[in-house]
Amino acid sequence: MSTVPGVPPVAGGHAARVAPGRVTVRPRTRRALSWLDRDTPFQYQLILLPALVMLLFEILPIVHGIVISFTSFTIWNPEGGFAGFRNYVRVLENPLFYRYALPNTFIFLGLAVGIEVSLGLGVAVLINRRFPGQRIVKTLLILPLLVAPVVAGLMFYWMFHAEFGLVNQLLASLGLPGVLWFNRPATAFGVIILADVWTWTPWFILIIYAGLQSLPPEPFEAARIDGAGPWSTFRLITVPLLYPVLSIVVLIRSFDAFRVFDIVWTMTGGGPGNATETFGTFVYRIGYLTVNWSEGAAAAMVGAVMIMVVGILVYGTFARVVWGKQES
Amino acid sequence: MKTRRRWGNAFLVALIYVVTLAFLFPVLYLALTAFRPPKDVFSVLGAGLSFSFANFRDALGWQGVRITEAFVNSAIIATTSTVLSLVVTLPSGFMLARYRNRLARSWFFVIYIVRTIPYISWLLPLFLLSQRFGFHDTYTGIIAAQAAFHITFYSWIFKGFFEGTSKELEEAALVDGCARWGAFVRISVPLAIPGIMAAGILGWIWGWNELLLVLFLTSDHIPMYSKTISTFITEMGVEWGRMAATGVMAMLPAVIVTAFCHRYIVAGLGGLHRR
Amino acid sequence: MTNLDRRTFLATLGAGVAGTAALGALPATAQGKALTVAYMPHPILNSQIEWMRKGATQTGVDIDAPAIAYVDYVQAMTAQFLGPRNRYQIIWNNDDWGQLFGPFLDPLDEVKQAWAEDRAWMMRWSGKPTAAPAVLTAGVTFYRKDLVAENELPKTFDEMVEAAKKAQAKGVKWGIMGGSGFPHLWFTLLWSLWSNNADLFKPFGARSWQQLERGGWTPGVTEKEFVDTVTWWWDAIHTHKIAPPAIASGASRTDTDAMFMNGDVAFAFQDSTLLQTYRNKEKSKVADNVGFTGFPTGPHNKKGRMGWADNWSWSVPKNNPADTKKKAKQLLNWLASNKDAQKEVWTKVGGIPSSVEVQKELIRTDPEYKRLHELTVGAPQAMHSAYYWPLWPEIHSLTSKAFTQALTGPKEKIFEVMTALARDFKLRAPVPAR
Repeated sequence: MSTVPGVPPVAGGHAARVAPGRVTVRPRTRRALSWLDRDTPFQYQLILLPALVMLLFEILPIVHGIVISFTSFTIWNPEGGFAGFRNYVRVLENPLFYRYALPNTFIFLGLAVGIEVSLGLGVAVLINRRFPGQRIVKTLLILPLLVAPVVAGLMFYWMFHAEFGLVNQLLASLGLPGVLWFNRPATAFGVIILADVWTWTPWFILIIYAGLQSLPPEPFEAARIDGAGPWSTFRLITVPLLYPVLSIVVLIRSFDAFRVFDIVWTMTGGGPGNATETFGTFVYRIGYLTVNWSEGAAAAMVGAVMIMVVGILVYGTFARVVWGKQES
Repeated sequence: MKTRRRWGNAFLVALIYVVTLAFLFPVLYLALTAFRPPKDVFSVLGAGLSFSFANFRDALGWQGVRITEAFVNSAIIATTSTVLSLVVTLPSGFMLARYRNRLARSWFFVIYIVRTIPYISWLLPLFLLSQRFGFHDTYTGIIAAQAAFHITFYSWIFKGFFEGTSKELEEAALVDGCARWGAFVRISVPLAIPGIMAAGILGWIWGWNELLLVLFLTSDHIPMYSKTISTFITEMGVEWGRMAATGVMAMLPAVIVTAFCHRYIVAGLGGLHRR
Repeated sequence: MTNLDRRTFLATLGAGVAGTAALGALPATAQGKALTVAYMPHPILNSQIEWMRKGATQTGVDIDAPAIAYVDYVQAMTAQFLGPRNRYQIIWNNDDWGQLFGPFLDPLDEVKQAWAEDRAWMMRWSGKPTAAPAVLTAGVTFYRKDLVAENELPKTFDEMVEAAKKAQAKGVKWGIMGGSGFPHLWFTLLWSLWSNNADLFKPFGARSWQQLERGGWTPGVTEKEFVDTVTWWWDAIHTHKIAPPAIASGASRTDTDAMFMNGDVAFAFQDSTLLQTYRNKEKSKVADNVGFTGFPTGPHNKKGRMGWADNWSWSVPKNNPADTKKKAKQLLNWLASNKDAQKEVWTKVGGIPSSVEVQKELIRTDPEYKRLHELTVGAPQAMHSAYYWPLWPEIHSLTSKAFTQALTGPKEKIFEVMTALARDFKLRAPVPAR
């Protein structure tokens, strides 16, 4: 089924486009006349350029990073020398890493993605009906997705500003004391998660909604005939049918949430204290700000390895959804 | 799934409106702040109908912050890197759509694994390489790195779109004696134009929004707005009027795309799940 | 297209990589006639750049001066030091990085050494001077003349609290303000530590890499003097309410400037180079009422009023072509010998000129300068404001975070926070000296 609007599946095969008189049948080479597997050279040609770009700008840097992480390459020691695992030890025993950056990242990931998928599912189901203004609503809901996380960070910081922010002004008008949102770890974390939820829930809404649109009608018809209520239908039919979609979006978004940087850096810089330090800000701080490149590289590699392991573990699910259902 | 007719259920519809308003609210509030005269910035809601462009004027003329230059750079770099990305990843997505063999699966696995790696893990070494090889703080450096960034995602999007286009036309062209690349360029690509639009628009916005790459690979030669904004809270302190105005200007592409190109965004992202 | 199989594919990839690498090995492009000067936008450096342009026209070169933000600065410099492109021929060398950049800088024997020895030793590498100091940055306490009489200026921490409360009673929003975020600790914690016989590392006053190493990297953050100082700030915010809670969420120097110039603060701890900015009628609402005095002393202070002053200088990166370096050094020599340029450091901006001769002249002719000099360079307890070893930024950042944590938590936990900081210091600080 095509998801490309306005492009109907072409019926009638090649005869529709080929001018009369030019059709020639060459049964001898028929097998080479489709894109099928024997066409190895062409396949390689197709991926040559992207592979080169990826090699140069992503894979080689990673290899370089790994090499550096085993040396002492810093600005005060630019010659560097072999350092064994010393950088990794320094990273792993750095309290900023194991007490703050790593746990914070996982907490952020769990909370943010959890809220986003629940909210996204809820809103997607909600708008999956006809209602006045539906086109406008569905359009407007895309906006947060397109706004830069830095700008989202700015917006929410402004709303929660201790002195001039909207939230505290509202509290004051109700006679309540203002909260120093960015002075306390829990509230600072909360506002960051709020900003992330705002930015990414529409992404979930969009994709889940598309998923809803492509669900088969039969189970729902059957449920309606059986007299099932909306909540049971949702719980027992909609959600299970959406598992493939949900698993993909949760996975993709989780990988992205692990490397969160923009929002945190803009709003708190990892503060107050270390309360909102995450993996991304940690690597940035060690490797870039303090000019300790080899240690920064080690920190970067630790996170990379961690998430790559997870990536490999979940690849099965991923591939099955993206590839599996194509077999037809 | 057939949509149900629920005209009568006012509560759910009202809920929808509330949710939509909640999502729009931060944007509206920032815009309101930006359009207030500078003295009213600190009491945005209580200032009646007062309206002014002063914040925008001040932001663009902000001494030393180089905002105009930053916006221009961000636009140039987003455009160039998106075009480059599209050229590079169209064949990749096509390959994943048309082939099922071991090479295709391996390629998919490679781009998947590379995408799981946190950006910062290859950005830091890339930054070091950029210094050693002299492409730090150059247009070439950041454009090429941005192009590399989205290979995986675009490949997925194009895979989805090419799966929806017709193989028959391409095979017909091959029967006619077209070379494979010729068929690709002249038949497959034009059919995927909606997908190209979707990926292009999304990609442009992402390029426009990019922060981490910019932090690592640019410096004084190439100011970019995302980096400027990221320093606002820690370094610019109390200039909220200008900061709000800058934020509003930064959101302009998002607003324009939402208003005029949402169809493509929906198509692009909607195709990701592919049943 | 030609037939492509896996081997050719991989070979092409390899060739692509090799080709790109070869591009990087190309020799650097030849330098034009312009000298590029890297600096951070700041009134002092702006003034120096102007003088450089004057000197440049006399020596027949052009000056190109791109402004680099502080956060970018070190990265821009490492790109110069490690890379093939000769971007900067003259660079601003902050006191923070004095010894850090040492190996990458060209010796400046030809440049006139007009400054005092006790400030210049930080900028030597292998016995040779690598910096041409331009200005001494000195911290002072700015105050509102309309709120505080000259005979009421506080000399101790306690007097500061009283004076701040009095000023607030007269209607100003906040008594004191400072910057506690990274990297602004000088204007809250650090000056108060050094005025109270407390320091980040022991022994008190250890600054150079060797001194710190000899001290065994022993943290001083759990000493009574240190904890008392942090507690003083805690009380200022929560008990006496003379300082805004915003300090605790990491306020910066620009916050201090904005609030002081807006008339919301009675005492601002800042760099003396802000003097003429605060007195600028176009920017400051309090332009006519700006005075300055020294830092108050704490109860544990043993040596009298504390003053700090450290060099901001110009240096020449080594990896530039020889003739360009020569031109750069000529220019720097011209600048260092130019007394008017040095005088303007004080008259136009409010900083302390590095040149000892010019200092003496100004002491004779300008009473306000004399006052500044006595409060800072000539203070009974003269200190350096920078710790000269590579991990200072990280330690600064850790201290800033712990300070924030202490200020936002309960008073009883301050010692606990400092103990944790001491552990972090021991873990992160030690680097064997070169």
